[in-house]
Amino acid sequence: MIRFENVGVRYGNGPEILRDISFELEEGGFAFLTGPSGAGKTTLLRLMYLGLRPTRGLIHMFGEDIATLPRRRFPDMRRRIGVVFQDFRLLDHLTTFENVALPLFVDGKRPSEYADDVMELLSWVGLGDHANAYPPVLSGGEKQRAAIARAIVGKPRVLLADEPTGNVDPALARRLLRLFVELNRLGTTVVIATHDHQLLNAAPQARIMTIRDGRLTMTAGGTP
Amino acid sequence: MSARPSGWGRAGPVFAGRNILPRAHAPLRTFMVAMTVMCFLAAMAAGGMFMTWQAIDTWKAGVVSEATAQILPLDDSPEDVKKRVDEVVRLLRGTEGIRSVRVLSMKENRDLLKPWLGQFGLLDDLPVPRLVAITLDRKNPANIEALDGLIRVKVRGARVDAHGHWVLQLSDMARTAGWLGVAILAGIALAAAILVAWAARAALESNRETIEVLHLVGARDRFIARQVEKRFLRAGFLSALAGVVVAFLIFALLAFIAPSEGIREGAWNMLFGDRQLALRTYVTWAVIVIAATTISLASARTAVIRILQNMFRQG
Repeated sequence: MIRFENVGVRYGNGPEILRDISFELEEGGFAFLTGPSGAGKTTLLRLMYLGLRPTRGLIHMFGEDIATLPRRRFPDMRRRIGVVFQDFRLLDHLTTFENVALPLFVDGKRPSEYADDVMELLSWVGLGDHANAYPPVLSGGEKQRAAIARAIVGKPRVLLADEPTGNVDPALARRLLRLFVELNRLGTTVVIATHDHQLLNAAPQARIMTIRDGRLTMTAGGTP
Repeated sequence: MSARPSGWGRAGPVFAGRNILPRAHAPLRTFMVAMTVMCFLAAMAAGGMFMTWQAIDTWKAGVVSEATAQILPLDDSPEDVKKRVDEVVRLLRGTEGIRSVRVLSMKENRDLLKPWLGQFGLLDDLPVPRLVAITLDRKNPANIEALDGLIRVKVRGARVDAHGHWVLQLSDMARTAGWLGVAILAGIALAAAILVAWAARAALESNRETIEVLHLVGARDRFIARQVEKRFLRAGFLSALAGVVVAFLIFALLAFIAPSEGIREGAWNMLFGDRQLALRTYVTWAVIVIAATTISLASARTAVIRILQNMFRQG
């Protein structure tokens, strides 16, 4: 489903941030992406959600080489990928409901088609009572959950989450992990970038992708 | 089924009729203010230009339709001079293309010369020529050259002056003033275009995060561009319209309460009185609004395309 071959990334004329990254994530897989701060986790995620073009190497997403993929097909590709950003990236001028519904709205769906589903999802992540609230009044944990809800509302085939438990207490972190595991069980490929070891221990079957000095090593794991 | 958000029924379906870009934020307000001010200046410049042209046309028409007959006193007695004046008046009145003839009194003659010769006795000692003001029929003016020839032959010491030299200079001045007005308007329009383009870009740059998020959740470039265009079309059009409406109100105010009658008349004619001039003014103002809106739209579109193209760039 996601295949990297000798991928390298360099910003400008600086040193390579990522070097010879090669791996393959099969459909329905579950993986943690870990490593020290500044190792390149976010950069690797950016490559996976088509937010960055590699300096070298090949990236295949859903069987397509993204180097030759025409620009007009990127939106379709992105709709198959849900992303939870480290800084949430919720739009402050939209309500929580609208933020979560955004991927469906930009896909051209009518609010009447998705309103009930979005409300159900909001309730599932514990934000049913905050549908009309704007992000600035939400707590860090609530924003995190709203960002997760937005990432999964379009039923993506891949979910990429960058430090999704960074702003929540351990109890909520475990609850969110259960949510990711549940999604994975329903068929979504999940990649979570984290340096929270408790989270890694809570899902021992997951593959561990470790980045250190720009290089990736993988530890095999099973489906959680 | 989960409970719907409170106020749902009142608000209707979420997103309906709404733009995903923030409605009003500081850079967009700055853009709107810049747009209003520049369109106001452009509308004022255009209005001022039309008023100047109109004033010059009126002045020029007045001068063109006037001529003067001059009768030198020579060494004649006042009675003989009067006879010659009467003869000139008779000849003029019998000529086609002349609307009216009026003999200026000696006092009027002296008043005309006072600025040059002073008012202390000198004028009484000088042989001051008699003047006859001639108003020509504008539609069918008399041939001044032929008239001058006739008067010179028939009446000793008399001639007709058509102000031709002044009219020529006036035409040059009017032409220069006209082009100056166009140059000023063009300068303001250019400055407005640049400022509006910058303000539109700045306003859009501040929406970069929103655009990025839309992009990353799978919005097509076309969808994002449409959202941006909708926002800038509305903001740009309303701001430009506001600027032109303020200019209209100022000219309307001038038409009623300007201290100078000329300005009052000029503003009135430009807005309501002279149908052709009013039409030209309103069309120009409409063009200002349309041009400013188009410039803001084009700038916003260029900026959004640049932002979108940089979204998936090489590291």
